[in-house]
Amino acid sequence: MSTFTSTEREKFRLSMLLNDRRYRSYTFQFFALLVLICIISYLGKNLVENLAKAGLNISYGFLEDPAGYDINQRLIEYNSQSSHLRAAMVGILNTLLVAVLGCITATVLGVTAGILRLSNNWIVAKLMAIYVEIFRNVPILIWILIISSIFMGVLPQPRAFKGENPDATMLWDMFAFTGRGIYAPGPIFFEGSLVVVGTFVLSILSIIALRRHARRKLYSEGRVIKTGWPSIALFFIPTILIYYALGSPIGLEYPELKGFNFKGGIYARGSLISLWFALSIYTGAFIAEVVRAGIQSVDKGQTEAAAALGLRNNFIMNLVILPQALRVIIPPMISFYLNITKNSSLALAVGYMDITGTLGGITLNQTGRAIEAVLLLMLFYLVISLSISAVMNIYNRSIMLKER
Amino acid sequence: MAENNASFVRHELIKEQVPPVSERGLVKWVRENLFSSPFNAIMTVLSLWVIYSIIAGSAPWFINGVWNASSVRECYDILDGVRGACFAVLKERFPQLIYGFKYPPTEYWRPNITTLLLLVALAPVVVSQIAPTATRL
Repeated sequence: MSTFTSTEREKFRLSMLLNDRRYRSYTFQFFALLVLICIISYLGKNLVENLAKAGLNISYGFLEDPAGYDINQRLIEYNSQSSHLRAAMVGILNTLLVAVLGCITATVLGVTAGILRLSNNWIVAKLMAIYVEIFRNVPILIWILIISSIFMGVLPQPRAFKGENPDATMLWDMFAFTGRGIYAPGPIFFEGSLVVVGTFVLSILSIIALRRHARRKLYSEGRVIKTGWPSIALFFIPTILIYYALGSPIGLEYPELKGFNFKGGIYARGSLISLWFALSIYTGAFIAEVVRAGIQSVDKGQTEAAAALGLRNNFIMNLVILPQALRVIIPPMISFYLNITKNSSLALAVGYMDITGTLGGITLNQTGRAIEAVLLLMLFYLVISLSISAVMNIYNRSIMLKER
Repeated sequence: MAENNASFVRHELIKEQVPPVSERGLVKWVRENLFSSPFNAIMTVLSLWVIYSIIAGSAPWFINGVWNASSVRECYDILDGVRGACFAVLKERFPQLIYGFKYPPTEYWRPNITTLLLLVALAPVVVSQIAPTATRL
């Protein structure tokens, strides 16, 4: 054996690039790359030359110019004098907002519907089957339009809340559901509110630490530490204590009817609500099927074996079925999250100003910088999609079957 | 003791009896599929409520729908403040929705026959799904 390892490596000669199978593939790949570079540079040169002929050039200077248009739904400060870059930032944040909200609600809806579809209650199972089949088989753009028109048509306008005997009333004097959007109480932060928020974050971190400690003790010493009540106590007690000790530094601002519209609080426009709802209910139908498939992929014998070992029902679900089902569920989930993010560009249909609406819509039309704007847009979606898959792949690797 | 002719041993079989009401037919099915446990009963009631509210909410819109009107205005006049659909647009624009914007009405038979032939051509596939032996020669 040692005789083979000690043989000296053959010296590299130029002819080996063609004759030696180890190096031949590199030669071919190099030439393929060369051809590819030539094609791309030809296309790029063509583009630049033709642009120059038309008196244009590629420049991102327009990002500094004032945008000159208003955006009604925004998370950061913005007015019509802000730059195009700022408008793009508003759009990016709006896209991320609806994508994150959509991913969360789609997961909740999908997991619920998927589990309920496996219910032994006939009517529940059939209801969920109808939900899945209807929502999955109609294009999402149509759902966005239907939901947005129902939202605007069915809910009362703000003026219905006016007068002595209004047609519509606010829910608990806190929430107003109108055709223009939903008004909800918003928090106001006074001095010392940071301490309360900090305490809350700390108590959540300590709950996680407690649970991790309990699990380690269970695995290493077989000792069961109860985490249910301590977690609930940790969640509420320190924050409430600090909150009252500092004299209620966080207040709530209720929306109030002023003139023809509500003022104050948090305002979610109808376009955001209907887009969010449509995205999550549409993708939820897909997730429901994947969850159902994942749970059904775990053999029935596993459940029976776990029951024979004396595990209780919730332990069977959490320790036996779910870890195996998740291996099947997570990979398609990554693509559903990506789909939500990319489908959010359909926001244009309901007038929600996401990145496609600001940078790829109004900015593009006003400046005429189509190539620059679309390139930036592509870059943005690429970065977001790749980051989502990167994060989800890390999670996937952590639950993957460990083969040794 | 070779033969056993004691009178308390029955010599003929009892006729099969019908199972009790709770163990047969619709009642059994309902008990097993809808009300097998308290949680299931709650879910059943909840889903019935969901179905009812969906139907109660959307049925008037369909039932009040106006099929004969020449314009949206006329639709609203006929509806007279009641919420309802204006299906008249479907009726009026039907040829446009089916055949396209400028398809000459004299040539409607062409797509009609094509669709019919398509259905005829698809029929064997459907038949082979329903009755696999029918297509086996």
